[in-house]
Amino acid sequence: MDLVEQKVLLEHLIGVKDNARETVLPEPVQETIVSRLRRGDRSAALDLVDQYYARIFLYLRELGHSRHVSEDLSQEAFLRAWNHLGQLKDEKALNAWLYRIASNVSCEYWRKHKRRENATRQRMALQTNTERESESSRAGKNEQLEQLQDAIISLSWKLRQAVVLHYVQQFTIADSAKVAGVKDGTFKSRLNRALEILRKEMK
Amino acid sequence: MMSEEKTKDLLRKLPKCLKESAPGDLGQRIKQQIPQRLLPHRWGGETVNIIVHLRISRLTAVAAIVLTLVLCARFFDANDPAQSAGLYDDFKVLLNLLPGKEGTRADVQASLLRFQSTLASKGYDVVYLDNAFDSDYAQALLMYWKLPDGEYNVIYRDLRMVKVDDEQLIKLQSDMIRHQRD
Repeated sequence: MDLVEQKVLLEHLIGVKDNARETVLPEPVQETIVSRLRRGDRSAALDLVDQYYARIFLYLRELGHSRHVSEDLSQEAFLRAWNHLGQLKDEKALNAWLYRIASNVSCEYWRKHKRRENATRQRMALQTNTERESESSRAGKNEQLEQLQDAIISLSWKLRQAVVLHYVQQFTIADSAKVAGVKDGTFKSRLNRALEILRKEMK
Repeated sequence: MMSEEKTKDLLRKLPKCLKESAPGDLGQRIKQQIPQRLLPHRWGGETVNIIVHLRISRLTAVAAIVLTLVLCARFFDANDPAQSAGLYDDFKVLLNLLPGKEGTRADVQASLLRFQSTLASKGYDVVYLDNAFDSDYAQALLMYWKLPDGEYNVIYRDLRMVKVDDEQLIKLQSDMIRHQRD
């Protein structure tokens, strides 16, 4: 394989990997899972776990929970999902429904552990081997990103959720607002407030 | 203070720079917790769960639902005789659910009096025969009232309710008087 082919392949792989974070399942697949779940089909639940467990785990990590707590909360989120299948009425709302359950689980956790909240917030690890970057520029960029992560996890829960949903999970405003359970305008307002705070925190 | 564009740009770069992944066995652990029987529709249970999530005890949640149902029944109860019959059936069910099930005679009389006032408030001319309680005749008439279609709803001593026409009502009254004399 020559260098050009290698580059094309590499770009394709990076593209696939990046897209995987923001991929919304194709509608027919979602519809099948939802209708099977509504029939009480256990194999649909297994499929749902396969497709979503990693995304829910990362979402909880992005909200500032430690790896250990995120594992527990992911399990709790799916347990709640099984108990609330009756609420899954809209065929197209599977994504928002599951993320909303995970959000509620996270919010309740912070509420219960309010005093320990600041001590337990943890930022996520960053990639170290970014290609075509010098050592100094990579260090500088990582420092900025770490600073940004620290600023995000020091936001109030609602603002943190807004930033994570829209910028990190890369949901649209409408989808993010559905997950947050607020109107689009309210969500935008939260996002603007969060951005304002982040700008002040970042030097 | 960083510019808005630069902050947004950094935020957009952030997901691509995160290297964490979910633990490999997490999916399996979640799968092990899937119930053998998934129940998508649990009528009533969902409502109780919602109220329980509001930090109210399960008993209080059930009580709140029952109270709401009673209030709704009162609110939506119409002058329709069919609905009066429904109200009476509910009353009988509730009576059976009372602690001790049988209920004392005073409880039943008090409930019947309340039922009579409910019907009277809806414009029905209700006849309540209190002395039928003392009768050992199962078809002794406790209460009857005329319906808009000219027929009568009758409640027997054993709390059954039937719809009869005027001739049948006269026969029932005669049978009851005859039984009392014997």
